[in-house]
Amino acid sequence: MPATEATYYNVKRLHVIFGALSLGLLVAILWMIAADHMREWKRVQRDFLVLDARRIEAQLKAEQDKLDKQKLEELKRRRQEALQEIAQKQDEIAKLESELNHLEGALGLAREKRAITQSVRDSVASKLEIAKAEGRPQEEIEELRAELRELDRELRELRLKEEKAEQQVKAVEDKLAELRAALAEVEQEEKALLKEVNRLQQALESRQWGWDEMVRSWPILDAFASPVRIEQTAHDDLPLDFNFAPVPRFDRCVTCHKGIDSVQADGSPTYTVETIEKLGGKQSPYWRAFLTHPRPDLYVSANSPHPRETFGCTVCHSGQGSGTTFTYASHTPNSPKQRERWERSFDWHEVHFWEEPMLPRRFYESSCLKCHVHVVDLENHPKYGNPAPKLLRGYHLVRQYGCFGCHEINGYSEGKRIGPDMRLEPQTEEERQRAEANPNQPPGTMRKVGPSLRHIADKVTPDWVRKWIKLPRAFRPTTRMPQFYLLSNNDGETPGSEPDDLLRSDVEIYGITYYLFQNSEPLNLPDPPVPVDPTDEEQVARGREAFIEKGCLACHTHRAITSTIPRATADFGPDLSDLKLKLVDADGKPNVKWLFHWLKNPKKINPRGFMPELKLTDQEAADIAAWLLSQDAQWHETVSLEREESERLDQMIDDMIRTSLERSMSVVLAEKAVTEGLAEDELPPSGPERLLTAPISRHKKLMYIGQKTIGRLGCFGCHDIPGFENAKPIGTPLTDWGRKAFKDPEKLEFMHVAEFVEKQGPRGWSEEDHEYFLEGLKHHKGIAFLWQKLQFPRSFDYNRERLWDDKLRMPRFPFADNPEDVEAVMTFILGLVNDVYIASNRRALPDPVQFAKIEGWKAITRYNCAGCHVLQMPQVAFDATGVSAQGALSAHKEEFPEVIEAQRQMARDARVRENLYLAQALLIGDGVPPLSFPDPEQAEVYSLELWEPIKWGEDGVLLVGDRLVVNDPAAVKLEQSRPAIGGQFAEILVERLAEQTNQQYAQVWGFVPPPLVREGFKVQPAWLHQFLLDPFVIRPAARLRMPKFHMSDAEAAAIARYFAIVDRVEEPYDYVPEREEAYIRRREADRPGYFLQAWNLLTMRPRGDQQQNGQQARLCASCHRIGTVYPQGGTPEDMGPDLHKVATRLRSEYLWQWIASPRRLLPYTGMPANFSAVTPQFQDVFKGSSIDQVIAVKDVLLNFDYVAFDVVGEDGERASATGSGGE
Amino acid sequence: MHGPDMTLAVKAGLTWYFLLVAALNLGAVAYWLFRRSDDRAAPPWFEAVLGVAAVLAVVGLIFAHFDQWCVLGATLGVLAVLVIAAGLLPSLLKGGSVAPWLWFCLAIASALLGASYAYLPLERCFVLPHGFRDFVDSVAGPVTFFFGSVLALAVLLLFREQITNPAVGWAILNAFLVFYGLSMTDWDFRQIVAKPDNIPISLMLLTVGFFTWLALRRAVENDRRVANGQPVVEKERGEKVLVWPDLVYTELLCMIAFTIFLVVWSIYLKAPIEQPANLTETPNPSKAPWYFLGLQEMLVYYDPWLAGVVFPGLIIFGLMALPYIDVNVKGAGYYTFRERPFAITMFLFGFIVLWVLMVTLGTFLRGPGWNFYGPYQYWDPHLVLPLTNVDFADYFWLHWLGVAKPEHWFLRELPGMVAILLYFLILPPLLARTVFKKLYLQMGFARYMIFVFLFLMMAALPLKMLLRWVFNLKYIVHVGEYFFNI
Repeated sequence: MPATEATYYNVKRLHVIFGALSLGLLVAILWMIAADHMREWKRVQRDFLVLDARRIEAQLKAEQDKLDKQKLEELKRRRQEALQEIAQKQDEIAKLESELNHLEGALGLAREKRAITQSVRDSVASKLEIAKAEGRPQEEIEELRAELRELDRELRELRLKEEKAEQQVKAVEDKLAELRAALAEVEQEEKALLKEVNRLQQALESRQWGWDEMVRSWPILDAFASPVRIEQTAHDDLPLDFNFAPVPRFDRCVTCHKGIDSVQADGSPTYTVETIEKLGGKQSPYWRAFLTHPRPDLYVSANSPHPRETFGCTVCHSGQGSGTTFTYASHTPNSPKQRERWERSFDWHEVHFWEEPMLPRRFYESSCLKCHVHVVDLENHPKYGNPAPKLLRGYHLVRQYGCFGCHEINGYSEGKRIGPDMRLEPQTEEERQRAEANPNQPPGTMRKVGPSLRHIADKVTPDWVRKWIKLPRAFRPTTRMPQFYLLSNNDGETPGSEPDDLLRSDVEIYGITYYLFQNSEPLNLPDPPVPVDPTDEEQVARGREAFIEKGCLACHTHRAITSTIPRATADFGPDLSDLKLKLVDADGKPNVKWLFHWLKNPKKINPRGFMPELKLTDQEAADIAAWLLSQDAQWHETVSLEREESERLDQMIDDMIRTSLERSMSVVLAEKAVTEGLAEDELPPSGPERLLTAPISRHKKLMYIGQKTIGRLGCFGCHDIPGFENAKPIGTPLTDWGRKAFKDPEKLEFMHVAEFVEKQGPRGWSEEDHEYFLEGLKHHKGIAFLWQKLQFPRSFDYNRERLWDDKLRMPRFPFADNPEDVEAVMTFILGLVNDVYIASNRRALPDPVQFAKIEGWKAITRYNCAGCHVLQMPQVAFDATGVSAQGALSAHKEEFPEVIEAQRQMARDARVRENLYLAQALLIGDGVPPLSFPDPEQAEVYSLELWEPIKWGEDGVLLVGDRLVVNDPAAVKLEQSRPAIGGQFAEILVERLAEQTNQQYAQVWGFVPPPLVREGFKVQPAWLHQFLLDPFVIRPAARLRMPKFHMSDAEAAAIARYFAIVDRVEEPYDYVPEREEAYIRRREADRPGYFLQAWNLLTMRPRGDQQQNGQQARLCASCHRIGTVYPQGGTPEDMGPDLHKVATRLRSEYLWQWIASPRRLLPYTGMPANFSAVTPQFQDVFKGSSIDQVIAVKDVLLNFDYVAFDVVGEDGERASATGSGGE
Repeated sequence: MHGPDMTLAVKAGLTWYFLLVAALNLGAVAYWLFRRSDDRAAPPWFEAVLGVAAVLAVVGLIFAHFDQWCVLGATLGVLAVLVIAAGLLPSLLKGGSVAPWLWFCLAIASALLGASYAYLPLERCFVLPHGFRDFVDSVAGPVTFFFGSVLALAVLLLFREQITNPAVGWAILNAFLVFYGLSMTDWDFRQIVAKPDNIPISLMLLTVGFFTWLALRRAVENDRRVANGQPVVEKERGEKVLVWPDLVYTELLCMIAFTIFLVVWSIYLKAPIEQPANLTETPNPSKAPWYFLGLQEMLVYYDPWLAGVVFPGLIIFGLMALPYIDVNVKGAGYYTFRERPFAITMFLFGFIVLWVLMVTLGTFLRGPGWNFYGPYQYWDPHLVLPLTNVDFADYFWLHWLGVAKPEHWFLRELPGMVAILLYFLILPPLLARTVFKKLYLQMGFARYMIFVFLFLMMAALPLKMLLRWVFNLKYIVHVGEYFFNI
């Protein structure tokens, strides 16, 4: 076909299509640009700018209202005047200005000429130097040198000209300024007056969204100076862990959360829900993004310990820091309702592939663990209180319930700290040596939480043990022992469990019990030296008294006691109510032998237990044992097991052994093992199977079942069990579980658990929480898995077909019934993240002092010191308007100014904010328990006895021992107050003693375990260290002896250091200046016979001529033993500590304040102030002012040995001074 | 765990989907009425009708983007469809054929379906019956999928004359669209098919299906002409056009149109990014890019050195060798089937069954553990399927001879190696004398040997699949000692 010009398609139509498509492309591209331009964060920033501008506007208005109108008027007037004045001299000014103009022109020229010449000169100089360096001919060099000299001369002339011109200019300028001086002054004053207004105006202008902002934010133009822009902080040192590759963290959160670190002058958040509402900011759907961080004192703000620039946001909150949309920042809802709202308002959906989604609000505290690996450093911080209460609760639950027995929580990775270290202590000597050989990872320190079962046969009967294992709560409803049986996968009822499972459970229980009793090592305890007779009513009554007073209640409860003393609810040790049922010996009689020896010396029975040696007399121990065993006891639920001698049981034993053996050996051998037993060469090299030797017997079978089951269920994680010393923990390590929960939920087996939960219903949880977690289970969320695992650990077997040995093994812990506990444990576990990068750069690495403090606090918690001692008095926040101070300020005039000054120093840290006071105080009042918080509804009037100095009023100070009377109970802000830490038992004892002796609480405080407030300031750490390891009697008057704990040397040292560190006093305390030779000599030189006179003051006794003077009889020796000098008469209640030992016990700083004014350190003390601050006494013994006398007594106490041996021993006066014989 | 079958988004999406299906069918009606016969043209006001409908649809689509206006938007969409339908009615009433009425009814039906998704509350919207889904899942499996594909190809080729009838083709398209749309009411189906990275697979299915159909239709037409002694269509029409503007200009237009499509696509569906790569963790399922999923499917049956290296290499080599092997001069420059049935069947089998459909299988139906999951089945990572495969050596020594397998690998695997050798050495001459007799004569020895080698290699895949399914055969040769397996 010949070529033609005809086209196949109509070209015109093609043009039309082309036009249409081009338009379409244009639209598509504009659409693309628009889609980019309208990104979420730009809208958020604009909304914030509006809000911020409104805030500034409001501030500006307030500032303008405040302005001094009169002054402003006056300034205006003065300005007018000044302008008029200037107008009058206009001619002169114009002349001068014109002159100045010419002069400045001349100056400019002169400068230019000088500059040109200067550069020519520099150039010649360089040429000259080069010529010299190159060794050019001499004449050339000379020529250059001549030129240079000529130029230098010229330059000098030019500079002269220039300076002259400058002078002329300045002269004219000065004249002009003089003429305009008045105006300048007015302007200066205006500027000063309007400084704040101008600043705010400027700030407002920078925030207002005008036309130029709009233009600058247009597409393409916004690349240059856009008023909205992505803001970010980069954190190379806190990288994201992209699977072995650290990637710098970029946090863009502030792009939207622009108000996050905005604080007011007093440090409180600028943007709260209220302020945003007030400014009308809630119109923006994003208004929540504008809130300031609720704790700017602790986070984000520049002065907080976690400034934003250093830490960013996602290292704590997680989430995708680089994401700039609500969804892609990986916000995570905290409830189904919130999720719904987000889906509606922000089109939110889950970002499935971001491995670190933001933590939902309820688990925020988890992140603290990443850096605060010791956890307890977050407890009772002096400045920030308890910033992570949920996390700490979780930590303590994990510690108390011993999760680490099965689940390793290893705080180390490649020798680096990565999180809390909760490893078990080495169980054998061999293991200990191996652990100690590794310098990068010190051995674990946690003890097994359950009692040792090594001597179980000496303690209880098999029958009791079986029922106990089957259902611990049936015996002791408050027990911490978890439940292994009658759970959803072995109760014989729930889908997933067969009816035979009940019998299988019983077989295992029989096996465990049999194994334990067969392996029990006999203690060969002798009979108690004192008869223990639970039927002897007198002994029982004595036992009850001793049980209350000897400190048992500091750790234990007993039903019979709680009924009369409802406050006795300590749960450090077990509830002892039903002991009668438990402690039965083989003959069915009360097991007095074991209980007596346990009370006398628990270490002998369980060296790693926490029961301290209470220093009971034989009689006391026997009495307590008799009482404990006399109390009515009962099982709280019925527990039944298959009969021991039943055919069904035997068949099931065989069946279970067979099934279990068939997994590891042939069917033939398994059958043979059950029917005949195995020959040596058929046995595996290790394992419980080795018990099944021929000829087989019921004994061997039960031993096999027992050993196998203990190994399978991991009983040895909590108990010391013979034969399991080297067994390894059976659970999943939790060291990195927190990350796993988010990263690999597909590795968790959810199976039918959601159906189980749906069927179960909320069970104590709120509908909302239940729905939240159920939804999580349905979507296979790690968090929800953990939730259910803690609540119903076996429910993942729901509806599954599994062999007995394959069933889930985790027991159900009693805390599972308490939603708050479950969430707390979850918070802790979710915080366990093995993030080596952050760990190595983490900021919370404690310095040695902080570390010592942490270790000390851990030991204090471990040994329950707070059971008896108050560690911190209650802190009461109150409004000053409803409180009047007694004994404040004016009354202090009667006291030693030195003491007052020292206490003022202590008040330096006192916190006062907006008339709100926070005081550590002992609450005293009618019907008010001594330490707990008052209920403002109940008490009309009560008073606070201060235990720490506080600032009062403008610059006044209230001191320790001063009293505040609360007239208006509403003044106490309960929500900001904090209850006492520790001392529950002291309270009980105080109440009891007050009742018995009919005295005020304050009077009996001296007989109970002392509060350890200011303990570090009081005692020398070395002494405390010694005392903790080997306590002795200090105050004969005390009702309760300090027991001997089985703590290590290191633990005692840590506690001793702890107190010194919290009180911020010097530690170690090795150097006592008072003992310095020079000090002693100076004292003696200043006042010959100083120490002897001081000694006399100390040991003064009423002598013939002084006997009428009652006052002198009350000095030290009348109450204190001083070495061999004993006070005469008086009961132990009146006796103070032996003064001989003060030198090593008390710190010098404390000692003199104590002698001078005891109530200023210990408000309740019985020690009188012996030296009057205003009228000096005892001038015949020691002449001088009262403070001199105080210092003298301090000196002699601190140099007791020196004075007693070297001074007094040589002096004849001694005998007459002390009255009775010497050393 | 399953999510909800119906959500608000699905509801809105299906409304417009079925309105679009309705519009397509109305388009078919319009085509039938106005274009198929020359004597009839669209009434002059029909373009106005289309314009009104377009405006309604665009405004409706804009409204559909706002939650509170989406019902109004859907109503406008329904109105648009009804306007077109009303515009077509007068012409329809004039004509007497059945087909346009059929499409018209179908359009109205799908418009009603779409409207039902717009107006009914969530829980009353139609979803696929569970019985149907369970049935589909229960019959689905790699075997049914493969044999179904082969069967479908056979049916397509055997009944090509019927299938290439536009009415039938249109019916198939409709069935496919309705199946896809209604399947979207299943959560699991949606998870896979609506995933942004899997959208190309759906597009591929539509385009490959359409072009295969079109080519066959032309082939059928030409075959009929040749049988009647007429020249083929391509020759008769003398399809020669000018490079400019007929080729280059239209290409430019396509380019622009396609760019618009890509831009809009990228605005709507964001590029999917998954979690950071991790050396120690393999995602489950770990899938190759979609275009390689056919190759990955081969890995189920062959070791990587074969499935990943030899076979892909041979595909490229074979495609390059084709022009030199093919000595048949027929079929050049025009569509035909009858003149080269073997070549076309082989190509369609290799491309559609072994490549396109394997890609589809790998994308849509292979889940965690590379297990097969029905289209409506939840991808449960805990699903365990029995898989005890037996080697050829086991069959030979244990089953047939009843003796233990020899110790030495060579002796043990000798039967397998012999079988392989027989396959490649005995089959070619055998085939040359029987089924490929004609081919052998046409090609000559060298060409034939290359051809038959390639043919046997291609056949090796389905053969191995068959052996696996029927005999649980794992390896024909299994030299574990040297990691050499066939």
